[in-house]
Amino acid sequence: MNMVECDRLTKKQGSVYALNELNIQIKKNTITGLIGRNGAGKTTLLKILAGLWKPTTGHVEVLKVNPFNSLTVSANVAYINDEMDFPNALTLSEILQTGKRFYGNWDSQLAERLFKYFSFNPNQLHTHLSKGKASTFNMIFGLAARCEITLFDEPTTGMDASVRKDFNRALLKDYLAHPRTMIISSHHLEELEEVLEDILVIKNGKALLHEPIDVIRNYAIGLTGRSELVRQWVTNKQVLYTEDVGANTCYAVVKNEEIDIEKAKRLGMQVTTVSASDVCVYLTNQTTGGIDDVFK
Amino acid sequence: MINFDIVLFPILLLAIIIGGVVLLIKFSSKQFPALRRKERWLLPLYGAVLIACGIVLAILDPFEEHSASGEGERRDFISLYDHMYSGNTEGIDAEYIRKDWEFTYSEKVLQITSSPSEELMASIFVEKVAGLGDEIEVIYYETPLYMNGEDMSGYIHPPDVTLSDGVVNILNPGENGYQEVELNMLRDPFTFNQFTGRTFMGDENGSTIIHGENVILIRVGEEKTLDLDPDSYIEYVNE
Amino acid sequence: MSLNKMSLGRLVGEQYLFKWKAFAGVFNSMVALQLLAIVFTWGGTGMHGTSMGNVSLWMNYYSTDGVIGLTLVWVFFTSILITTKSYRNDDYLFITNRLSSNLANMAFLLSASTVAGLTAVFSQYLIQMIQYLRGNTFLTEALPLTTGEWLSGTAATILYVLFIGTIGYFIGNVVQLHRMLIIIVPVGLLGFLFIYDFNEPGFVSLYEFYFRETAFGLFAVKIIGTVFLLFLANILVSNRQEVRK
Repeated sequence: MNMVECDRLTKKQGSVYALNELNIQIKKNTITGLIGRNGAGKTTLLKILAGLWKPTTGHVEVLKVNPFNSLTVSANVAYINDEMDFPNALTLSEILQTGKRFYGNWDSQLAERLFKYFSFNPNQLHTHLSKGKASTFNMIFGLAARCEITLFDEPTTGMDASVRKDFNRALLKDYLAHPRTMIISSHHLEELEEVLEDILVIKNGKALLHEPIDVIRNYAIGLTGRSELVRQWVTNKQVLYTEDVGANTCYAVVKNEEIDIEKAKRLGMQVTTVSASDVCVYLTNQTTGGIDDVFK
Repeated sequence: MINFDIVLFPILLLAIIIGGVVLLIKFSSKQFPALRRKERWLLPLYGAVLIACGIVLAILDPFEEHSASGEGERRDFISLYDHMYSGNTEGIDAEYIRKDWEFTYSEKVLQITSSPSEELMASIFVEKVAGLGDEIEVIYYETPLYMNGEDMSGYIHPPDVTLSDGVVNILNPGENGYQEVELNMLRDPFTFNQFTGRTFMGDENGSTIIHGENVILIRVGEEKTLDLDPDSYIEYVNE
Repeated sequence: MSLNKMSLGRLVGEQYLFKWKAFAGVFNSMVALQLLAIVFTWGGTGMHGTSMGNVSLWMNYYSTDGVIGLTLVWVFFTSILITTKSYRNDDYLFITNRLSSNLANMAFLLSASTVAGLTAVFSQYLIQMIQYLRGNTFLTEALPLTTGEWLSGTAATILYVLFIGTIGYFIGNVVQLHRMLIIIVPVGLLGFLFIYDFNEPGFVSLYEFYFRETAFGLFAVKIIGTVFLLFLANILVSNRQEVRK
């Protein structure tokens, strides 16, 4: 069953297409990583799914209904982002109490435990939290709400490495205990890789790739060797990235299909695997070259 | 001189009430955590102070009864001066007498003065009456002063009259003969007046002051010789 | 996981309770403004008197007009304030849609108007108490208000506050329609105030329609009717609006 369906979803902001004929389906009880560069349309997509924005054209369904201004969607979709601006009149513990009043599936125990674990002061105000602390609090809020669909928009902003690790563990454990549909956006896959099942890569408002994480891990291979040889080998192949690594030596990342790895090795090329996060970086780059090309 | 009992008592009462409210909030904040934040105290505190003031005022009842009749103003008053100039002093209705004095004086010459002599709140008239003998009658007549349609005469003290050493002295009341009356009144706000037809100052006719006439008539036997203080503007009736 | 089902009625109720907490700060400014207006009554809000010869008679009038006036100013700006981004987006932290958010805001505005109207009327006790402590006693009205007159006056005060508040809320919502309106609407309103001839018959009859109505029942019907219409307009205006960043 698809929890989210987008059909040629387009969102125009001014003269810019934030989303351009985006087609996606997201299945029930999956954790999807929404990966893209800054400005690729991640936040726009999540805001439309949360019912805050309406699409310019195209069709979107969340829980089988149009999310914009929908009470069902609002009640069952938690949208967690770093713009959450909780009122100053409420303390942190009051915000959690209010959450409990609104969300029928609210998990007070989880909220309380995480609250204690991350050593929050119940009487503190949300605005007085540091960026990382605020992100942590928002995450607690999003997990405790236990909504059918939980959208995290760059949830780890400002968190330090150990908190990020804790966040991933908490997310995964709670997901296993209470399976639900989650979409986590990030421009940085590495830090989320261990919890994701599916990866959705978007670029310029279009879905570039929507595959399980294992597929992404084997998506491409890296070839290092003499430049002429490597160049000759990768012609007519889908090249994601090339880089000169030394005099007359070149590194190329190509899509892992129709590549005779054994032959490549025999010809003296080095064959390496490319991590999923590197694949995403290469895929979402604007050009096949890297930053080095700018300085040529 | 401030009367400390009157001032201190309500202050004390107010302090006790405010203290009670604060304690109540402190206590209830343990029961209701929502009240723990200081920002939320102000409104309940303010409301409690307003109600406390209402209760204290209701208990102390420091209001002065309005001496005004509350009846709409009358405009059909007689002119006291007309009566004086025409000599028809007997024809003045007794309702306009505010105060009167009677003296007995057997000497022939009677002096009449007022103090302060330059200004008096009432005009002084003298009438010589046959058959009065040694009797001296002093009558203070007044037609009402209306402010916004309400009779305010009651707040103005009448003059006093004394007789000693052959001198009838008409004394202005108040310190140094100067009378300053300041009254306070709470009017309804415009949201009430819209439906009651009242206005902030005054009645339907707007804010008006209608001055009455104030006259002191001194009646003496016709055989007396009068020595009138020239500074006091004393006139004879029917002249 | 079961779907979280929430009826509109329950949701509006929860949002209303949430607003009492989230908007608690607005009452502090109300208390401050009312206290300011009370202080201004120190020497009386009106004076009337005469002196004849060596007698002077002065009547100091006190009233809660100033308190009510400042309360109206307060509710106008407060209701605009609650349509601004940081307040309106509060709802979207939890469950909401535009309808429930509007309903909860109106319910809050209604109760805030009641609180503001009642405190404005009751502020007369504090005014009297201040004068009493200064040693001034008050004369009672020659004709005291009947209970009915008092109730209708108090209700009218609340309705005035609600009326101005709803107008402010509507203006705030219209302004939210487009960024440019944030400039156009205030400039337009100010320009209107300067240029418009308030003696124009249309305005006069409008003014008389509301503020010269001497029958309380009719007044209440007119105000409540207008508030209701403005409220419907609010729902129409905001129903298609996106949630701003």
